[in-house]
Amino acid sequence: MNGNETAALRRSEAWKLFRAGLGDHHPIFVSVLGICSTLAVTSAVRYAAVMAGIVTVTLLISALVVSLLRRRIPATYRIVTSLLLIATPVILLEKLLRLHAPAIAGELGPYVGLVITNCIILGRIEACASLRPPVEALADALGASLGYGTVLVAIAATRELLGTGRVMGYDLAPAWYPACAFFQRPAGAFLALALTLALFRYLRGSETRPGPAGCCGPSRPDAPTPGTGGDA
Amino acid sequence: MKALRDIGFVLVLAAVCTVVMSGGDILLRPPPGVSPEFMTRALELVAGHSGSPTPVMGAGTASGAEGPGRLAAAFQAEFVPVRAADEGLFRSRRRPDLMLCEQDGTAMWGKIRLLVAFDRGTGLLADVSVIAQGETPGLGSRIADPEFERPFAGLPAATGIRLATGTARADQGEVPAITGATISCAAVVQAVNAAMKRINR
Repeated sequence: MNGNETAALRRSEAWKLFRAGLGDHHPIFVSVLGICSTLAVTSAVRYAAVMAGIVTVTLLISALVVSLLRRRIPATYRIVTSLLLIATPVILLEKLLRLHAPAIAGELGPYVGLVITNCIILGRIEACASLRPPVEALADALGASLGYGTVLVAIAATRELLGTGRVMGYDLAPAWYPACAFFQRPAGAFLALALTLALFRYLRGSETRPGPAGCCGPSRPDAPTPGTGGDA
Repeated sequence: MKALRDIGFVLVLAAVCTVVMSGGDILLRPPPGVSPEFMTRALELVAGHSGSPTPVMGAGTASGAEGPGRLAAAFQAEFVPVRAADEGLFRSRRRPDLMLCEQDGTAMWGKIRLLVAFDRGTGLLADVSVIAQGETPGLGSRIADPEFERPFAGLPAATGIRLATGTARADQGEVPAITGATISCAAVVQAVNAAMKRINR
């Protein structure tokens, strides 16, 4: 295989990883990860968008660093190392948010800091970034975070619209619509997530199921099995 | 030998991360003094009292569009500190009876920060705004909703206020609690009473 072929293979592999995060290995719809934050911060679109941005930046930075250091990180301490590399950007982003958008930081409360324990980030780092070169790790991180972010914003828009009749301050519901405050409450979040999940599964049909090794091919013998649910 | 090298690597990485986080802590620390949200809300309050339109908080207000320097200058033009020893207590230049206090409290999940405005002339609260909180979204976070904050305005507060257990009687200084967020509501009431002690001192 010559250099061009290798580069093309890498590109196609990166594209495959990117697309997997939006479809076959969608972090919320397929792997059912990151549900806590999905339920907690989707009362309004702007909070969901900020959360999605924080998760995206954190995942990209930590995946890149882990991928660059993947041959050096000792297997025994890889979780500790991953947590360190996730916590650093999260803490910096939280401080940045508190300084420049204190109102949003206040509304998001402890959930910004809890991104450190977000299963999507740790899962993608464990399953992909620690095994793949930087381009592929970044493609996988971008796909997973975009998949997470779009669903977060979609659920938030649904809840905001049904709960208040408005989205981002714009009146979108007809005048006769009685705002259903239930959707602004935690129980409404569960219902909105369940409806979105059901719609996704219905549209995709039941023919596609993720393989046991996730989208990242070679995996460690002790790697977690994707698609088994979980949270944080 | 390999085990030692591995531990060494993790320790070095931890040290680098600590340096980065500490550097971020120093660089991204808010400036000392009262918070920008307090200044923004205080300016909105006097703008509302003087009959000029009240800007919408968070969207193009002084904190966002004009920058911290201009916000602080506008605040200093409108308010004057009451005591040098109490840097969170102010009096309006235009309405000397109007006292403003930035007060911290402890709620369910941590610190909350309030603006408490009290009119000494009438003995009534002029405004209570929750300007920072980290309570449970959808439950405790509703202490920052206008529906919860509005009943505070006009309450007789010279001797303190209370959280109503049943129907709130405004003339008795009672405020209604939010169902499912009693601890957060009680923290707000406690913080208002603490602010009143500072104002009356």
